[in-house]
Amino acid sequence: MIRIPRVLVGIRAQLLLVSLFLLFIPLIGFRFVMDMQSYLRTGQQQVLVSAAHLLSATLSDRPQLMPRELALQSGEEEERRRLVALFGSSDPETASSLGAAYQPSEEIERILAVVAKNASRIWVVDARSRVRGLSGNLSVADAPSAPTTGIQTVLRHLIRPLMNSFFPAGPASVVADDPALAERAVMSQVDRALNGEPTQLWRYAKDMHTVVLSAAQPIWSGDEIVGAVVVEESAGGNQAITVAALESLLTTSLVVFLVGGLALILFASRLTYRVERLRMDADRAIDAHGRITGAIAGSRSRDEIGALARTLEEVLHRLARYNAYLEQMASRLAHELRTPVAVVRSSLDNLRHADMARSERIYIERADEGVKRLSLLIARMSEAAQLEGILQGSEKEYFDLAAVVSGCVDGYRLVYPSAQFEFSRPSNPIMIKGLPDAIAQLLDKLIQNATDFAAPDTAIVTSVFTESGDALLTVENRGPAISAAVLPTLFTSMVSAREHGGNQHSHLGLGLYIVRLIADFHGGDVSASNLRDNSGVRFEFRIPLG
Amino acid sequence: MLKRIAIVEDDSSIRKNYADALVRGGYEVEAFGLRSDAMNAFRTRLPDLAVIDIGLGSETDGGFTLCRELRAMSATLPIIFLSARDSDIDIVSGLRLGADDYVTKDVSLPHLIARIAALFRRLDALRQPARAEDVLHRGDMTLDINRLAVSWKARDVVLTVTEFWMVHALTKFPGHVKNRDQLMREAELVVDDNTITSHMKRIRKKFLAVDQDFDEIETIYGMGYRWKTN
Repeated sequence: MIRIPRVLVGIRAQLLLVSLFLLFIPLIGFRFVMDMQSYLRTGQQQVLVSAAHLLSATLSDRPQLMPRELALQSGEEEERRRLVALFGSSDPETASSLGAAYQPSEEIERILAVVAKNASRIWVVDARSRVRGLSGNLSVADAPSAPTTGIQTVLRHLIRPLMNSFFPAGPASVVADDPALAERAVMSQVDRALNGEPTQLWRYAKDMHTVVLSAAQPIWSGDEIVGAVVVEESAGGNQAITVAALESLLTTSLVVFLVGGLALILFASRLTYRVERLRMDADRAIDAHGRITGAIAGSRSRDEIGALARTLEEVLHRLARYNAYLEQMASRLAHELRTPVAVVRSSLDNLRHADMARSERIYIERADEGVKRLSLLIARMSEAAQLEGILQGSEKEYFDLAAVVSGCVDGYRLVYPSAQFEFSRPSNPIMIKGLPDAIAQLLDKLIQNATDFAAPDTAIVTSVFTESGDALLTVENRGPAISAAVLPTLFTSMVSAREHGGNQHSHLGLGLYIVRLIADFHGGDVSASNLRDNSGVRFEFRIPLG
Repeated sequence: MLKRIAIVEDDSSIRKNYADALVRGGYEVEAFGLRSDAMNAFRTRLPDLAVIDIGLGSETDGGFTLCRELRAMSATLPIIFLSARDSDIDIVSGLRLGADDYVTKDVSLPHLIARIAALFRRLDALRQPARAEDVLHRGDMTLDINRLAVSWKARDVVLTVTEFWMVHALTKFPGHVKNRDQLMREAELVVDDNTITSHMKRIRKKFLAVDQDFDEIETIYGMGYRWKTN
């Protein structure tokens, strides 16, 4: 399985991924701006076409303005190319540079002056592409101003390809911003007009910023084409509005993205932090043994995470109550059992004094034996229950662990004459802080456990030593291994790893529970493990050196 | 004249069983199930000894209250607490209220009767001069076995019957280690290791109260206790 870093699948990353949908908002805005521009252009185009139409109609009424007799002069073709280049370049200074190709007719220019308006230029050419009339010039004043700031430059660079890529969807295509191509396009426009085909063309002006719209219309005289009208208008105004709108759209989007993204990251971080803190609290609250070691601080915030924290806190409290109930179970049971045991015991004691046959007395003795065992069990149960109270009420002292263990092992040799004990006392004292009585009791329980399980004729090995700032007390015995399933719960109340209960020893699984209580009280740790070759069991009690 | 023993115990089976056993033991017995009944009877006439359960019906500490009231009426009346509870706190509170002994309910009847007899013997002996053969001298300590009284450096140490027997067991053969089982047997206790430990702790405290330098009881870890010989 591939491990994915948590950062990549975390709430922050997920929120950022979801927020990518926000990108659609500027996209929609852009689309809207482009649509608006395209409407404006369509309108402009229609106006221009109708202007061209009107002009051609006006001029077609005056065939005398387009005399055919004007003879071709040498180099005419050359002139024609130059003329067309001028068309294409949209140079405001056109008239002065037209030279021989400019053969204006006063009449035509008068008519044109009437029709001309600001930021537009009208040409009238005769069938031989000689300019018979020219009016107005393509002002670029309304074109978008040149970028003034770095950000604007960046924005323009962003906008330009966007606008271009969206133009094909517009009313007419803009000729690519290559002057040579524009020139060819204009030539073909004039040619096509002279062939009787009205055309419209969008192209870039010479300055490469302004978009120019030109409409060409043939001038008919009867069935004959006598010339063409070309009306040009700069779309600078529209374009400026569009660019400004796109700029403001982009700027706003960027700001919204930055602010929104930052807010989202902050929000997600706060969420993550709270969830993470809750997770760590929950993790800390219960230790490896399933004991409740801490509390989850209930959040006061009223949102779902706050509610979750409160629920967890409540769950933990309930669990703690239940755990406490379970741990007190032994004590309660002992307390509750004592009264009925006392009834049975006192009844048996009384019964002994009654007249009874010898055969019947046997049953009394057996019943008494059972009650005594019950009493012993109760005593053991209450031992565990009381221990905690006794430990809390005692004051810790510094003592030599080695000396206590040494004394204990001497005692065990007397108490368990049939068992063998191995212990070598370390030469240096091992000082720890605690209750020597309690440590002796802990060792009692470990030894008791070891003697119960030790294989015949094997020694129980006890050792005391220090290891990295801790004092260690270990008890090893040869004998059956403990199954791995039981190991983690071995030190829990009422859990016994014993497979079959012996008659002399009643096992409630309280001995190792007591060991754990004492270890916990000393801030130490107790663990059990099987020997490497599974030939026995090793118990280890670890406590920081005093 | 027969000694009169009052039993205050809310469990009727136990009450009757104990009453029967005590009657057989040669005592006159009054048995009560409620604290109020017992107090009414005591106001008219005090018994010679009272065996009191701590939890009486709905009163979880009714026995303690009763003990306090009885002690107020008589300073010498022997009182034994009999309870299903065996926590240290209960034992200490019971003894602090002036009870002479504290036994848990799983004590056997012969043991209970032996304790009662011992308390009566102590009461009687206090009225008579001490007899030399019943007195044990161990260094600074004197044990009067008849009166169950102990003195250390000529000052009385007030011990319960249980504690007296433990001290007696330790001092009978000073220097010998007595393990927990032996101590229990001597004190006729059915208790666990913790109770022995806390009994020894209390005994030490009582001696320390009369002599700050008392250090005669030695703990032999894993084995038991020993009375030091000088």
